[in-house]
Amino acid sequence: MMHNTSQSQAAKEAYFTASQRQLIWARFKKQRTAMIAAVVLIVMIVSGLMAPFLSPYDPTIAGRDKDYTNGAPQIPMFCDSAGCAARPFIHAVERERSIKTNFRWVTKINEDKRLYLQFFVEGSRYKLFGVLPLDVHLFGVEGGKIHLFGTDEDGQDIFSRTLHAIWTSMKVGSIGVFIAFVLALAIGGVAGYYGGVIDGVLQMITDAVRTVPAIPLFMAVAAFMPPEMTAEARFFYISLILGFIGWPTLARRVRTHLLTERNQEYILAAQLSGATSSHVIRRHLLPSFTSYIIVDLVISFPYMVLSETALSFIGLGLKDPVSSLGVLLQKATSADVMLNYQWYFIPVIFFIVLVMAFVFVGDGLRDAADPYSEAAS
Amino acid sequence: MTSLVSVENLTVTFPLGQRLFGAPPTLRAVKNVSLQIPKGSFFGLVGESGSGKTTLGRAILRAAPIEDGKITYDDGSWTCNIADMTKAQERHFRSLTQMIFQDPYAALSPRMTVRDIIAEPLEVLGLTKTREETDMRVREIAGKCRINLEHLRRYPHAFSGGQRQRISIARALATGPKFVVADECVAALDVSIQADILNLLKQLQHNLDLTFLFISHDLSVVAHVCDYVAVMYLGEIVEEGPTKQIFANPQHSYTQALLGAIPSLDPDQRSRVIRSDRNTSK
Amino acid sequence: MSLLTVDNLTIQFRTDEGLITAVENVSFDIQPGEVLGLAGESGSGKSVTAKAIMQLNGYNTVYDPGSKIVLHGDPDIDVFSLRRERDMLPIRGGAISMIFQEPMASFAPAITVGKQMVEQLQVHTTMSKSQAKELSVEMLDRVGITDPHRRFDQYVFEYSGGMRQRAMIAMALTTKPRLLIADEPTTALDVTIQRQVIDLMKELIDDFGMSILFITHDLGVIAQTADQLAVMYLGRIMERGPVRNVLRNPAHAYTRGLLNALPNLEDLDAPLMPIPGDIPSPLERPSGCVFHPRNAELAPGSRYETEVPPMTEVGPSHFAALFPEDVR
Repeated sequence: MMHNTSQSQAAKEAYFTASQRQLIWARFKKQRTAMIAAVVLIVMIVSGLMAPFLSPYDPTIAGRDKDYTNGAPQIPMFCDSAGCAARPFIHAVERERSIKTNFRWVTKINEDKRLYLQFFVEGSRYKLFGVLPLDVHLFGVEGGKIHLFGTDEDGQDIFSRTLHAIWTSMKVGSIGVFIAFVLALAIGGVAGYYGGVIDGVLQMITDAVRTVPAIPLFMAVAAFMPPEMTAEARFFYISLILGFIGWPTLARRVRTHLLTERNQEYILAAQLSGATSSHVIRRHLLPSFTSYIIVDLVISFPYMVLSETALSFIGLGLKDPVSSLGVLLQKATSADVMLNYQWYFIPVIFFIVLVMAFVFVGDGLRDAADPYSEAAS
Repeated sequence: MTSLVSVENLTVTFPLGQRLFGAPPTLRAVKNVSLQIPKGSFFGLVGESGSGKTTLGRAILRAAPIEDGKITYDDGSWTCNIADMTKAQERHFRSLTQMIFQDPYAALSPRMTVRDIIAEPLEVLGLTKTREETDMRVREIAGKCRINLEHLRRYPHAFSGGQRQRISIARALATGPKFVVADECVAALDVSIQADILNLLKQLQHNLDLTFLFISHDLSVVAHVCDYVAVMYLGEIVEEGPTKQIFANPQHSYTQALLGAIPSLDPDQRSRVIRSDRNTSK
Repeated sequence: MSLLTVDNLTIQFRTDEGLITAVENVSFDIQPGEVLGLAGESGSGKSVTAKAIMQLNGYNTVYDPGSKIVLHGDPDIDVFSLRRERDMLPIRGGAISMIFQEPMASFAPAITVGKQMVEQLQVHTTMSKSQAKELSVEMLDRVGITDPHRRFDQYVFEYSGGMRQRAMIAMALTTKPRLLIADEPTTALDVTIQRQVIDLMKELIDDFGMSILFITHDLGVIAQTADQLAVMYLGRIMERGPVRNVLRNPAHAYTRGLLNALPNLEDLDAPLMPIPGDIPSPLERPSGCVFHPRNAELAPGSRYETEVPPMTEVGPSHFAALFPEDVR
């Protein structure tokens, strides 16, 4: 007699009727690191999406705080020398210039004046998701400004800039990955499916593109881009170029996968039933590597983000007023900053976390998808 | 004895590798082979590795590159030269012929339910008009192959090797073919399961009036289930005839070596050679 | 005095789905110069048992503390007491050698065959390189490989299938093991090559006087090579005894079922008799006698459904997993 409770029977039936996607998801859920990374990733994406709402100020020059340039981060606290309060607050800052300071602007913290944190404050106007015109921000202080991550030399709030930078990088990454993906599918797909001479020729093209050095290419492109080009257009072209040089690796993966799957017996079985090429591709080949493709997409993302960062950092990519990590880091290149204004580097931590989250989720997906066909034991 | 499939001087060659200029070296897997497969028979094709038996089976189904020769299919109501078919002919041909593969794990798409796997040939060839009709056909053939109807909504990973092979068989029979090539379809199964599948195939042949080309390297299995057998060696047929005759009285030295190599279950007897003085019926 | 004693071996594996029992209470012994055939289908645990002797099972293996494997000699080696890799040398390639089903997978593809054989000898013996080479070439010749000097310097992909298997046997025998474990050595070979390899092994048994643990699912091959036969199913031994006795008078229903399922070349018209049912998945191990759900001869509600039958003597040195009242 076997001990078969109805519960274990239901569980077994669920396993038997689970599709590949469900099996992969079940395996993914078991990996702690990947699940935590996935949560972190979702949080960052949402904060990027809602960046205008979450940041107290406009990240461009328009929203700068003239009174608090190169200002240190202001952490809200509950208690100070004068006692504790229920609501968090910061101390107000004042700027003065007098003969005592040699006529230079000096910023001083006024410990007697408290600025209480408020939520859902009215502030600068923006368009949420690019469509919805709003002017409410998650938090702010009345009678002053709060800079959680400090400010840069122009007085721009680094916290706001960071959130917007995350979103910009995600946008650039998405477009780049999408273009790379479409090209890789088309070229890798044709090469892998048809094989033979077509494959040989496409391989040569793929290898040629891969050997193009990125930096000189970008320098050439930067030289050709007119300085009057709007930030948006610039942004679009950068994404385009990143996609165009990113597809070879993905194409190779697609091709290899197709070459092996194409010879599987269930494909032959379909062909012997009279299936046309398009049926085989649609019904068998494409679904077979959806899981791989998703993994590859997720893993390529950080590369796009880092490429954009590097390019913007050396001035070949995005520029002000668009904020991206590269642009933010450009301002951090002087010794002055490195010695005195270390808070300029706070965005770096965010980016490390973002990239790591992508990598962990990608790895987790790949591990979950890999034993995807239960082979004979 | 009418032939369902008639192979004449068939040569199948595979290119080895690619060359940018000039023709690449080739491998001649099947050399000038001629064969008659009688209608309604269970025809065995035996050989070791490199004999070309799998290639011959695939060539008959137009799944291998035919260099030269003619293969005629004639079931009494439709005929054509398989080596030279038009697209329309090929479509009809596909509904009349099918294949069962060796590896039960590679032959089923892991992403489709059993019902979809069995239904695929029907849908591709457009043999059924509605989903209900397809479902009915699927249930019918699954029942004949002794597949539990409850299992139709499961995925292949839920099944053992023997059960998967039954699903493969059901898929092959879904379109109601007349000719089925079984390519080593019991080689990967355990002995106790092999017997089950072979019995099923014989039963189906009887009920559905099928002709089987049974490709195998296992002579004892072929001896039991096949009416006729052809022995292949290095791309050529060295001997063929009714099974009992071949096993009782092998003429070609290779056939004799093959039979002599089967290990006997009797420790005191070296090989399971059938003694020619045995009184075997028919 | 036996060469190898396996006592109450129980092996489980830790998997995502839980603890799976692969081998349960398996006991047997091998005498010097004797060939023991271990027969079974997939899931029988025969390979796992063999690998346990050389401690080659994976990291997720759980050996029951009551299990014991002893290689008798001077001194006796208790396999489970060996902790360090260094101590395992005698059982891995020294006194015990192993050959596998897929010879291509056992040889390193980028090193010549000769180099691998010499390396093995240098690990296990104190021979010099030239002595090792001489012995290796001699062994290649002994197993029937023509032109052994040239073959010594070739790579394994230059060998044919049968030659690879012979080379693997040669490599296994250079260290003059007392026990050779052969895990499905002929399964991947063509039947004519299989015949040659079986004949070769029989010659070598006569020459070297070693014992062999021969694992296969092919009862014909076992009939030709083994002295003793043990039939395994789902991790337990169902029947054990001298090969003639077990094959001619099978006492256990599973052995009978296996023999009946084989195509009988004496009577080509006889129907094939499969064993009803399917081999259960390792997660659904039956209670009592593991074979009972597929045993058509059992009446429902019999003892075998709940109790594990002991190994009962059914003939001289011939045992089966039956209750004494069912011995015929």
